[in-house]
Amino acid sequence: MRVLHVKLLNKSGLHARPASVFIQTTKRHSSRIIIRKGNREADGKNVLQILSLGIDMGDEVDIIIDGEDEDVTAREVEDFN
Amino acid sequence: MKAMVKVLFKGKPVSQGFAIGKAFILRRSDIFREVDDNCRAIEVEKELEKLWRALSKLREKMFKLRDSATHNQLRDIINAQVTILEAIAGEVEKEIREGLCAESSLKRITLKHYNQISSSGSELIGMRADDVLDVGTQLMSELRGRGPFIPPRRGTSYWLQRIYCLQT
Repeated sequence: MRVLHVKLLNKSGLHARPASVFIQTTKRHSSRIIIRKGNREADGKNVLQILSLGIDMGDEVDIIIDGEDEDVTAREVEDFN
Repeated sequence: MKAMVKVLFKGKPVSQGFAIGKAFILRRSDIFREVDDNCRAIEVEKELEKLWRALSKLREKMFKLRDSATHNQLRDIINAQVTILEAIAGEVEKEIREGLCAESSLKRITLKHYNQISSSGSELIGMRADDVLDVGTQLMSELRGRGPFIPPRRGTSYWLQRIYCLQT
């Protein structure tokens, strides 16, 4: 299991367009991806759940990646930001 | 005798021709109010077929619009809306399999996410709740066999929905 601590740099936060691009990345991989902001969690492959977290620029989130391809997934998720 | 309905739009009259700027379409705002909250699926397979047919029709329209777009930004917006559409349809499919009819489930899922996103704490992302409501409304229109534009009728409320036109 990999846990990434990420500070979002996108100036408009993780809104619909970046969330959609993020999902195109995460859906290519079989690992389970959870995004945690505070005490709330979202499935990293579900755009509606990600939008519900309301991740703004400067927010810090944990991204938990668990599965066979977790290393390559983690690299791509890190590159996304 | 049939009553005549007069609809008056207020605004500045302009000459015919092309214009670049914001555009709006008029759409009924109460489509979800017409749907039962707890309608059960009589035949699950038929409900699923209905959903898939509406999904594929709407997706086709969105792709057509995306492919005709000349700006990458607009194409990205439509791609994001397709992602939202597929996420909504995925959740509706699950609920149909649990016995809810397509329309009730779509209403529930759309309004649930609309409320969650609009109260997410981020003003900017909260505005994206409108995208969810818009996509859900369009899918509902397809499910109910309606086109995207419904002519005005007395006693019905409307909203102006923004569509995306980019300045060149």
